[in-house]
This record gives sequence, C-alpha cells and structure tokens, in this order.
Amino acid sequence: VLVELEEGVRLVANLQGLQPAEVANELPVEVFFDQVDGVWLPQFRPQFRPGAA
Amino acid sequence: MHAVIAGIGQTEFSKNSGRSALQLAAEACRAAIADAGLTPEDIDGSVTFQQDQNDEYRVLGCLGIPELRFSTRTRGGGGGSCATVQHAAAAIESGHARAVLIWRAFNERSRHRFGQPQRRQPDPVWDFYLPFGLDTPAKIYALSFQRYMHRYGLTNADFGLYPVVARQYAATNPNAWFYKRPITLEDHQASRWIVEPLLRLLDCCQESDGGVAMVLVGAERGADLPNPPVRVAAACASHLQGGDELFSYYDRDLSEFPDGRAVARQLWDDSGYRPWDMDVAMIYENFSPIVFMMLEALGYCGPGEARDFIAAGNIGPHGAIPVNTNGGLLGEAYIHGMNNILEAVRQLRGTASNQVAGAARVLVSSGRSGLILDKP
Repeated sequence: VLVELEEGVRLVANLQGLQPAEVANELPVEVFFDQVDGVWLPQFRPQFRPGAA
Repeated sequence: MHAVIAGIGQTEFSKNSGRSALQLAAEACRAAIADAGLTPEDIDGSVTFQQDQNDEYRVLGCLGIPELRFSTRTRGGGGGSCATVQHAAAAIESGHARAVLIWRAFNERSRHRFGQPQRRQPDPVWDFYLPFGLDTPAKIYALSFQRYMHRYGLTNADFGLYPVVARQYAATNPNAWFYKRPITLEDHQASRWIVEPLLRLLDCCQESDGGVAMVLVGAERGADLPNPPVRVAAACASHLQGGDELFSYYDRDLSEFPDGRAVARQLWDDSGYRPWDMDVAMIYENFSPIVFMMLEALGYCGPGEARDFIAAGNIGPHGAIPVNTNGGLLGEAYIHGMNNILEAVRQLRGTASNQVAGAARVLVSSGRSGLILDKP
C-alpha cells in the first residue's frame, strides 16, 4: 500500500490485519513496527478507534 | 536545420532469439544503416539506453564503424526511448555528429526476464520498496494506477478495452508476435491476475527478444538518401522533481501523469501542432492503464474520459486518432518502446501494415520523453 501520513509524506509499506477484499482507498491506518529477518520495518494496520466494536 | 530519420532496422521479435544481444544489436544496426543508404564508415555518432548491455566499442567492432565523435545514453528504461531521438537530433543540429546510429537490443524473454524480480544495484532508494514486496514493474506501476482507477470508478474490465484494440492491430501486422491472434474482452477477463485488482496478464506488455535501430542525419543530406526522410518536428523530455525511474508515488495527484503532461506541453509548443493535427499516436504502454492516462495528458480527452473515448472506437482502425497501429508493446513486441518509433516512421513512409491513409504527422509518446515526426 501507499500510505499518506498526516504530515503529507507518502510511504510504501504493507497493510496487515485485513483480508484483501476489505482493503479500500482512504482507509485510515496507523503505523506499527515489525521485525523481519532482523530488520525493523514500518507496517500499517487499520486505525484503532476507541469505542468501536 | 532539422534532423531526419533516414534509416530503420530491426531483427525479428521473438521469445527466444537464439543469439546474443550484441548479435541482435549488430543485425538491427546493419539493417538501419543499409536502409539509410549509408555505410558504417558514415556513422559518427551513437545513442542507446543507459540500461543497454551492448557496449559502444563492441558495436563499432561488429559493424566496422571507425570512429564515434559523439556518444551518449538516455536515462532509465522505456521512458527514455523517445529521448534517444532527442539526443541524436541535438547532436546533428549542433554539428557534433553528421550521422547518428541509435540502437536497443536485448533478450528480455529468453535471458534476464524484465518482468521478473531483478537484482538491483545497491541504492538506498530501493530500501523503501523491496522490503515491502515491490520488486517487479507490474507491482510498482499498479500501486500508482490504483488512484486513477479509484478516482474515476473504473474496473479492470475498463482497462481491457485497450488490449482488445492493440491485439486487433497486431492481428494484421505480420511483424507482431501476436499476428493473427486477436482477443476479445472475455479473453482479457479470463486471463490470470498479475496484480489484482489492477492488472491481468493481457494488460501487460510482452517480454521480448529483439533489436531495433535507426539512423539520423541532417535534413539536407536526408533528402538525397534512398528512403523518404522523416523529420523530427519536436523531441522532448521531462524529469520532474518527485519522480524516479519507475516510481511516481510523490506527485500531488496520482491520477494524473505530470511528466507526461509536461512532455505533451513541450511537444505542442515546440512543433506548433495541436493534438488533432496528428494522424497517428504511438503511446508507450508497459501496462494498459498508461494509455488511458496518456490520452488525457496529451489532450485527446479530459481527465477520466479516456474509458469512454476508447470505448467509442476513437483509437481503433479508422478512429479519430488511431493509437499503436502496430499492436504496440502489448501486441507487437516490447523493445522498450523503440519499435513504436519504427512504426511511426513506417506510417510516414506509407509502408505500415495497418497504414493510415495519408499519414503525415505522427506523435510518439514514451511517458517521460516524446516525439512529433512529420515529413520535411
């Protein structure tokens, strides 16, 4: 995915935690960091919304 | 003084040439020099791609060219295909060379497949892409096409309108790999996903083996040579901040193609022509969505209108602006766009397989560079 950060920067990364069919443009996401082969990579997941079911 | 394309040459386009890339380059060059009515001794300039594996000295040796007084290479991949003519024309117009040979030759199907993940030169820029799986041109481009598809509510079946037209042209071009093999939209929709939901197999250009070459000289000299000269009316390139060889992820609006728009603006300004002065348009298409975006960038239709423009038959045979009459890079072959320049020359000579009657002005677009060719 290509993520546009609030600061305006765009970043290529992976989106985790969704099935491919659930991925949509304009989906709010948040960053987390994942260790892959000893390297920490930025990854994204759907934004946690307090109070959401 | 304007430069003219005096000679063109090529090898057959195949999936397994059975010989070295250098052999392909030499065969294409020899054919182009002969087509121009010149000898290797006449050649004093050369242009190829930065990516081309055939060293200039090896090519000189194969052909018997005694000396190059001008030698250069264009940036990047297919985006630089029209820029080869820009370099050659600049050399001729400035007096640095009198006869410039251009070539591009490779075995990108039988040897290192261009569409597969490749070993990249160590470059920090790839650290931002490779770890996330962006390792083939299809994946890299699909990510930016997504915005165009989303903004205008298109589906992959809409993009399929272009490959059907391309394969229709290829079907009647004996020079095309897909000669006599047209497809329907149903065939397109039945082809396998390469990058879901953007690109199916039939949206992707071919991987090909082959070589293409051209010879440029000054207009005065071109008038005395055996084949009708083709004038370089405009030759432009644009490399905008925020871009990269394969990426345009940082443009303000990803549904546009800013470099393509910048090239289009230069072409119309430099030549004095307007989009509808063109009889044929050759539009570089590594993947079918780029034709949609480039038709809009060139001014043939407004933003988001390319789908309906293509569906109405405008780019097909006898359409308002026939596009990629050789079958393009999907239908004929993928020699990084260079074969589309040869088709433009054939259209202007009146020798194309799918000849547009009376074609006098042809646009060639390769994204970040472009040409307008006409008759002197």
